Amino acid sequence: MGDYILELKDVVKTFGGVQALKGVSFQLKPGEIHALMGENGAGKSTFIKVITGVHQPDSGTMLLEGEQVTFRSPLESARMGIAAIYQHVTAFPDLTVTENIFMGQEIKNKMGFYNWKLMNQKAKELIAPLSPTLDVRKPMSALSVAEQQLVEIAKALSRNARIMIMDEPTASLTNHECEELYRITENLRDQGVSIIFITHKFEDMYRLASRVTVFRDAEYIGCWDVDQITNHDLISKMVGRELNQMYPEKTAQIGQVVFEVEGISKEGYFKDVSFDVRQGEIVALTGLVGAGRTEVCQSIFGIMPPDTGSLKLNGQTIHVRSPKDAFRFGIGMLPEDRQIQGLINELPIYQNVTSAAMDKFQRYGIINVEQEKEAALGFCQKIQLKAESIQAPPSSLSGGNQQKVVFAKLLNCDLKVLILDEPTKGIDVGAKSSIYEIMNELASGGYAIIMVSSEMPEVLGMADRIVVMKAGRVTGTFDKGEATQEMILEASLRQKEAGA
Amino acid sequence: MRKITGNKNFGLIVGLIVLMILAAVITPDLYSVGSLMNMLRNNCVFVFLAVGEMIVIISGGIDISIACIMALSGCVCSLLQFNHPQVPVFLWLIVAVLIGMVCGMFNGFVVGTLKVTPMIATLGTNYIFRGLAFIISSGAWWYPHQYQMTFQNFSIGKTAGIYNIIWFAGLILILAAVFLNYTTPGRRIYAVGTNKESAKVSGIRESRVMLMSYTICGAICGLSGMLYVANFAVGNFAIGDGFEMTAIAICILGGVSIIGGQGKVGGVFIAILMMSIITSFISMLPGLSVWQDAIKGAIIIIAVGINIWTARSTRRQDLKERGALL
Repeated sequence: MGDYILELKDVVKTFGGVQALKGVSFQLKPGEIHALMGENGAGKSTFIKVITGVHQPDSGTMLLEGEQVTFRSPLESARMGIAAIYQHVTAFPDLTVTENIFMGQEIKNKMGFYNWKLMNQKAKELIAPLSPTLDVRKPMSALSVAEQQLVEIAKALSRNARIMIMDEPTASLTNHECEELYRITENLRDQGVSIIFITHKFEDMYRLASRVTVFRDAEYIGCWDVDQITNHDLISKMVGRELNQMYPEKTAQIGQVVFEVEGISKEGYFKDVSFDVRQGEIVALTGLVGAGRTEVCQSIFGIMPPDTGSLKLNGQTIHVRSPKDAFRFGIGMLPEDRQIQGLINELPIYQNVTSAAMDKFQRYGIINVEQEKEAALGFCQKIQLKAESIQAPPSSLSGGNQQKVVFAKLLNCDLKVLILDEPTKGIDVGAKSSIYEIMNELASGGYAIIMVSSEMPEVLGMADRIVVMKAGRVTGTFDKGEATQEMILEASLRQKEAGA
Repeated sequence: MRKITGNKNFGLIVGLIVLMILAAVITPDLYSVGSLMNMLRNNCVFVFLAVGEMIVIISGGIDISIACIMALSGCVCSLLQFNHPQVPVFLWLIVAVLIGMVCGMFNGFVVGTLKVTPMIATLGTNYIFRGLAFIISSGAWWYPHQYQMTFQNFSIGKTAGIYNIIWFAGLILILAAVFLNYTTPGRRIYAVGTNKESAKVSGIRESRVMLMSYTICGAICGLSGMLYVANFAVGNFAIGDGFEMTAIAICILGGVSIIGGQGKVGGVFIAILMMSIITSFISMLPGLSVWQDAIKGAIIIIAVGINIWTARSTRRQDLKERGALL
């Protein structure tokens, strides 16, 4: 038996034509907490699913306590003492806590019927050390995210897991809940459980892990002892490229303040958020997932109007109660998920471009199709859309070009303020820089731009000003010149100020 | 108090009581033992159809071919008992269940293995089963004198003073409740219906669960076909036309979530009682009987609306109490 409880060598996994794992390796020592880090899309989630047997690797070996193993289903890995707590909690929302814990190993009486009484009692015993007040007869959907994770941990414990994999467990927890989770995780380690802890937060890594492995672009980059690698080195390993090549030279003239957000709050989502945007300026809203950035944008855009606070356009207070209002005032949004919210794949490109403002092309209720196509073509040329024809459906385009169609759609709407929610999400590196070009040109054209982004290089490379949010509040505002990666990270992890 | 009002069936039970009081005041005839028994007897078919439909809906599917399975089994049983009077009628009960199982398995195969959308799959089989019923019956009708008395007794015979069909319905309700709450296959139906992805990582095979739930549904509907023709002593290929919609309506009224994962036998049972009383009550009111369908429809929408509203507010309050909101 080797030094490692779990070892993976040269694991390759391909989905269709995409390589999700290009020969990664990994070693887990018994009784350690091992952090696994990397950007979104680095292959961490696929990696876990290979370990647990949800996916089978195309090649490579996996050794459990020195013995080669292959898992064809999650049941087999569970039987060997491997438990995973997935990022998007994979509970059964309509089933009770008890049933979620005992899924697959239900307690039955002699007749083969469920023994609910005994199961509820056992579930209560399992969950009590983690959360004494939780009612195990409640459905999972009635629990908070933190509570749901505790249930997943209890479930893993009930199976005597020796290896526990946690996929970004702290992503949507409050500080207090994080502390609880740290305590529980350390307890597990002390009981001899080996833990793989996937996270984006340096805070988590420093607090818990003894070693850290970095993945980037589906490849294994390296493994270090946590106390022997600096923050800066780790970030450059994760990002893997210098920042300055990707982003265009800023050409826009920054003018007057166009749009002001003054102290808006929405119960349960964010509180007292203020910032302004000037003509030709790009303001980035950043922070960790769950910080409330998208919700702020949805509020500004009228999807869920704020409870208190006000919005001002050119100094005038405006009331935006719906996206229709927003468009009327000249505020447009590029949604985070272009496939679901931004594009209609059944319609040709030109109709997608004109879909948000068709009134322009109609007279007496009849649409002038020639005029419509001409206008759409103009916008598509402006953003350098690469498409065979504007008659083709958007699904025939690459991700980057699909995003350009959504941009063209916004151009057609005569807007002043653009909200871009993760504008380069799911777009490959090459296409990203052309999206940045478009953003730069839009800013030069006098648009005031609010960009939500989780990607640090993008924020630093594109934004004139950076607003950082943490747990529903603004925790820092930086100008382009002064901001550094560390400052933003620090603000996005900052504890709530006393009394706030 | 929260515990009582928080019960999912609370609204339904209140509705049922109000209805029963209204009926007692306006049409006291409804509560004579005879008419009450007849009302139950004639609505029993919906117990079978709704329980079967419920199982399929909880698993995340829908079955709009149930009434046609019923018609097919009804026609086959009518034909067999007429052509082979010497065979013990008990056999036809088994035949009815088997026919339903085969139909259900076919539905389950098309939905679970071929991955055809449940609505489309069962819309197709709906025509297939009805068409088979037409071919087998040659479009003919069976009239009361063509049914053996022993055959009819499966439904209209009495045991301990209660019609046999009511006993059958009660048995199905109890079996379904035990199956769904206390057995592994039953609980798997909820698991698949509430989250397919989780089911996958838990090692549950969706296609098998779908096959099972459709097969069970089919078996129950097959049984209902025979009991239906035995009850009314009339059979043809067109029986039960539109019953699938009533069954779906009962499920929805009874708190079965149309997207799967939620639903209790108790709720469906109360919903059946409610629907039966509404039907009988309204048909006894002069002038109102033409409004029957419109009133039923309105009740469904109101009941579901109240359900959504209370679920939303209790969840909000729940989170607030535990400080899970900012």
